[in-house]
Amino acid sequence: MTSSIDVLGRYAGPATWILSSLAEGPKHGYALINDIEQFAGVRLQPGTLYGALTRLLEGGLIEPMDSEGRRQPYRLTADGAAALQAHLSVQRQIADLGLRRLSAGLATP
Amino acid sequence: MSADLPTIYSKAFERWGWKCVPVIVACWIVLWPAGVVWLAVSLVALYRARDRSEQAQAERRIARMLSWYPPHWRARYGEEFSEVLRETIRSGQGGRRLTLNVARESNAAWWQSATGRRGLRAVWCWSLCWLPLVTQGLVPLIIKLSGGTARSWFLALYLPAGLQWPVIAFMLIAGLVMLAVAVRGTPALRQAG
Repeated sequence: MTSSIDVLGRYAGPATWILSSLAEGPKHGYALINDIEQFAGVRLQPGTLYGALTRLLEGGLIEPMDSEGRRQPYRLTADGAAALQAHLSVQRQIADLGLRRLSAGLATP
Repeated sequence: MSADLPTIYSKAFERWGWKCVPVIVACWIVLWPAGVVWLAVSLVALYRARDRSEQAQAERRIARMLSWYPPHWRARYGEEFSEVLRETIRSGQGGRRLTLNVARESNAAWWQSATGRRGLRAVWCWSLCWLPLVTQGLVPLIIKLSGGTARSWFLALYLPAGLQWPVIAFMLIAGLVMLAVAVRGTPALRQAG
């Protein structure tokens, strides 16, 4: 059940947030940091952001667009969307299972 | 001049092989007082000439952090990454955590390719080889041979008499190995660019 996001090791978490942010539309680095802070409550540090971005680019999961001055926007590729879909589906299954077991455990004295 | 020293050492190694290593070490021993004076004078001049405005300080910090990344990485992502750093500092999030994060991630960027790994090893060995070779190897060796009693911060001289020579020898060998790794890895350092 290893997805192309899981193979990113310690960058899998930031990569999931980046792909989820780009699923809404193209963004540049600093806009990604702000958006991720809003929906995940985590402020990504610039070094970690670019560590994950470079790996996502190498994996073909995102691609650069025409730069806007010194800012470089990125967008999701079809492979990136598929990888995110697969990764989140697995995460949802795990979350559902965990919650079901937790509520069953809490119901049993 | 000091920035070109690794190039000089690398070329010397290519031409004369291992024979150049004792010559390099001898040059260090003879020239280090002049080097220290030159470094002090340069640092004072640099400090006096610098712009102390907040913006200039931020730009210097960004340039410094960017310089920790491999040259090819800087060429590809340098401009946009600088902009993100600039906006992060401007938003008041540019504390020590940012420096530590960039230090960790720049190290990871070097580690991503085999050439980068060799280059990074060379950087570490250039930075640290003098510790075992000179301060923990050659200096205690000279103190022992001259019959001195000062122990200062020389590890070997705090050990029992029977262990002092083996530790000095180990430090000398470790320092020479690190110097060799540094000299051999310097072309990879340039290749990483």
